[in-house]
Amino acid sequence: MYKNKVFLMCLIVMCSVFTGCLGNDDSSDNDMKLNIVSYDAFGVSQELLDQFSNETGIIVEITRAGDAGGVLSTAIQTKGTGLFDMSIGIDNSYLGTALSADIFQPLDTERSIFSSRALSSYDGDLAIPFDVGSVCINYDSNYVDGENVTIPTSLWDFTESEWDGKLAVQNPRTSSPGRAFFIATVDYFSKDDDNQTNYEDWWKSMRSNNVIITDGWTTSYESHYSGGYGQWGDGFIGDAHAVVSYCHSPGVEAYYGDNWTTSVALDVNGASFSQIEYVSFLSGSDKSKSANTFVDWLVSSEINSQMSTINWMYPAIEGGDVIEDSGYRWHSLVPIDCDIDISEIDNKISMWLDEWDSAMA
Amino acid sequence: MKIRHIIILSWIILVIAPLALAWNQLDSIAERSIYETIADFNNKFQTKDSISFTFIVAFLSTIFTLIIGLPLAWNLGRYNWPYHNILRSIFTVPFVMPSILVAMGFLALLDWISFLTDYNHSTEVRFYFLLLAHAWFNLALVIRFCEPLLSTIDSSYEEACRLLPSGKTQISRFRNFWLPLMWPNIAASSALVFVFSFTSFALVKFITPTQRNLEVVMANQSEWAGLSVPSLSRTPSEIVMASSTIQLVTIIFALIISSWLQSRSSGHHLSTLNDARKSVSFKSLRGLYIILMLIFIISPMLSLISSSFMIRENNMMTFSLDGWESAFGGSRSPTNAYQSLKTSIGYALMTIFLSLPIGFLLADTIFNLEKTNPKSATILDVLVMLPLALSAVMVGLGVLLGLMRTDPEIARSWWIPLYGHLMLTTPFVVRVLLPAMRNLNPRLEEAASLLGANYLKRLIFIRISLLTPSIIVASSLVFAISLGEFGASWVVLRFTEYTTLPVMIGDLLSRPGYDPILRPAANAAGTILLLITLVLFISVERFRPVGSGGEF
Repeated sequence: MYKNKVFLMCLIVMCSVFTGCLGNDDSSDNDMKLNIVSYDAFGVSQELLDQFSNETGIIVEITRAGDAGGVLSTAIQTKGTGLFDMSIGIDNSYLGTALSADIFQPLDTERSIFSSRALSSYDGDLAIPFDVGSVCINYDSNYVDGENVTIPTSLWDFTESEWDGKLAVQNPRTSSPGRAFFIATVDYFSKDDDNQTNYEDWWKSMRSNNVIITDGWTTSYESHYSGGYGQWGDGFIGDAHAVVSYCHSPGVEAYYGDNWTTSVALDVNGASFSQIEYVSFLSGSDKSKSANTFVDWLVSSEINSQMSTINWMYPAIEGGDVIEDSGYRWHSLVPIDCDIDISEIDNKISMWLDEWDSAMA
Repeated sequence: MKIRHIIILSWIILVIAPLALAWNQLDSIAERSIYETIADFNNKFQTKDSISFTFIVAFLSTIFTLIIGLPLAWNLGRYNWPYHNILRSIFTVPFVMPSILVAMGFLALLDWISFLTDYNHSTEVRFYFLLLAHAWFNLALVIRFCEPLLSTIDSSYEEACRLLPSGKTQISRFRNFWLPLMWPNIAASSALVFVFSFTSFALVKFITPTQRNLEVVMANQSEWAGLSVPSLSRTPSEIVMASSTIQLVTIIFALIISSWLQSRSSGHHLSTLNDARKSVSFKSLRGLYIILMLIFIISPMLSLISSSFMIRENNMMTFSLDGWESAFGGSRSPTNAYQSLKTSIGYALMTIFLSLPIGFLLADTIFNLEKTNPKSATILDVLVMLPLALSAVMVGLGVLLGLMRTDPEIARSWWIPLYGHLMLTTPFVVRVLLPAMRNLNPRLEEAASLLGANYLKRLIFIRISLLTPSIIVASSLVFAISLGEFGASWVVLRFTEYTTLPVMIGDLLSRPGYDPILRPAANAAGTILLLITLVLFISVERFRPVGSGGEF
């Protein structure tokens, strides 16, 4: 019994010691602290953020909220509360909704520093682009060897038997790349030569051809895709020889794989979506000066030009490109993307998604 | 008595309020009735087959767990093995492992199996692996519910059975003696295994990623459900309402059965205070079985540990400590393993501090009500267990809405994550203390009362004193569950300064794994969590006396 009491006493002492670890440091909770909501995959390291803090005295606190949709939904839910000062990662597929929801305040960033591609969806002052990249189908060249299986030249090719159960895509309701690719298919089939069919027909055919649909990019790319880094990791299935990812994903594979990859981005005009990611100043915050300082830093030549290695995307600034090391640039494709207006996306996305939901059931 | 009422009332509010807030918000957006939404489930991709999949997985997982768990409980309950306490800890530790780690462990195991057998695991194989993972995870429930009873039934009863015509064979003794004795415990544990398999999230999400149970369906809708933009949030809100209704009704039903059966399980008087176990060595057929089960339990853990030392380099896997360096150096995450472990331990200790007294009072109230008002006791018992049945999505949404409406700055308070920890651990405190209270001899307190001891004295010198081993066991359980808590912390806003170890692991896993160090770093952080939990369980197991210490 004595032993038990000693144990309980130790527990109480430890409680009092360790609970001190949980206190909030309120001293930094002022104008010089920016609370930012971002997506999980935002890759700017703590080291770089610390560097920014040292240079400017502004402390950056990042809270992760899932994917781009999660960032938008958090921003809407906390609208006007001042809980978050900025958002990072709302992309052009969600921007129309964000603008309609009136959750942003203007920023003073100079627009002339950006590439025309970065400003192609929106060139106002409420959302500042910080990186870009195209979402398209990647295929494994071990399977698509050009002889037994030819390189697809149209999305309809994926409805053929050789692609039965071999394409992995993401659920457009739960994944940002999935949503981007879905929007690309809507536009692609509305502009192709065949006026008799639309995106619904293609998705229905894909369902019949056993397309693999996962809830997130990680599962489809890591577990299902045979041509990616997933083959070296745990839980690899490898049943898909093509996957929806970024057109520069093979470049990233090569960068980490010592200039070796079997993954290739599919070059089909209009079958890709140019994703532009934005940083914004949220309504309800009064830290305009700090927010502008942070945006200026993020889109500065020094930081933004590194986007291909810190956030695996293209820089948004004029002349920005992915780096050339280890075949990164050589394996990255810059396709001709679909061309769709963000207001059209905002107006019709609910209807499109409902139709997709029924078509795929 | 007044403090007791306040605590019970606060508990009820804490459980019900987020649910009511979330429900109210969802209801204001949804247009279709719950019935209409459910009728439409199989016509939509998001929800197609999710109801049948949830029930099939929960049902098969329960059967699978019983098939694996009952013989194990028998062998641990009726026989005394060398290093028995360590064995018991190892067999029960899976239950407190964060499910995200279990998923990682099983995926790593799948890889080893496909490497050794040269068989590339398909989606079908993954389904069976999911059932196996559920059995692995929930084994502790069957052991904890059945083993204490088995270990205290004097073998003379079975000897007496042998002399009777209906007890001549082993099968007939099982049917006529052991089964009637054990079935309330078996059924109660089955009900809980069913509940945990029904609400399983991370295991389903990672092991069978192309299939969805109701919990995954709800998590998928969580981004938009309840949001004040009806064009985006109508369908998600309807789906979350319908899914949570099915889930809640099913689970409350299962919990009522479990609670009712548990109160019945104290109805026999065959248990003795003596250790009724026979000593046995590993050098026997029975020993071989225990060793095989041990391999089953530790292999996912070993796979996880070994994965933390493997890194992709020049397109091949090589041994490396880089994952560990990154985990402790924090080069790939906002915090490092030291800092997040410190935060985790801080939260775990705070949780013990809060959930022990709350759980004690709740258990004490249920115990007293059982004698005077059994129906109210069952209702309170179900209410205590309810948080385990609530979807993290509903709780997360409710907490967020509640905070946004009152004071958004509160959402940034350090104690907000404690809410999830408290909800998740207090039911287990009750589950440990309640059976221990039932085992206390009421005459001791009556005698003390006659000698003039007031309530506080009786509480400190008799009740708490006699329950100390159970309180220690409950503390370790609370500590371990809190240390590994992932779901609720993940759903509620994740602020960096309160990053716990499981949240750090989730953070590392949610990034694209191009960078070869990310996954080994997550596995290294997972290994730290696993080893701490294991050491804690082993060191506390000796406080659990044979046959007592609760049904969990």
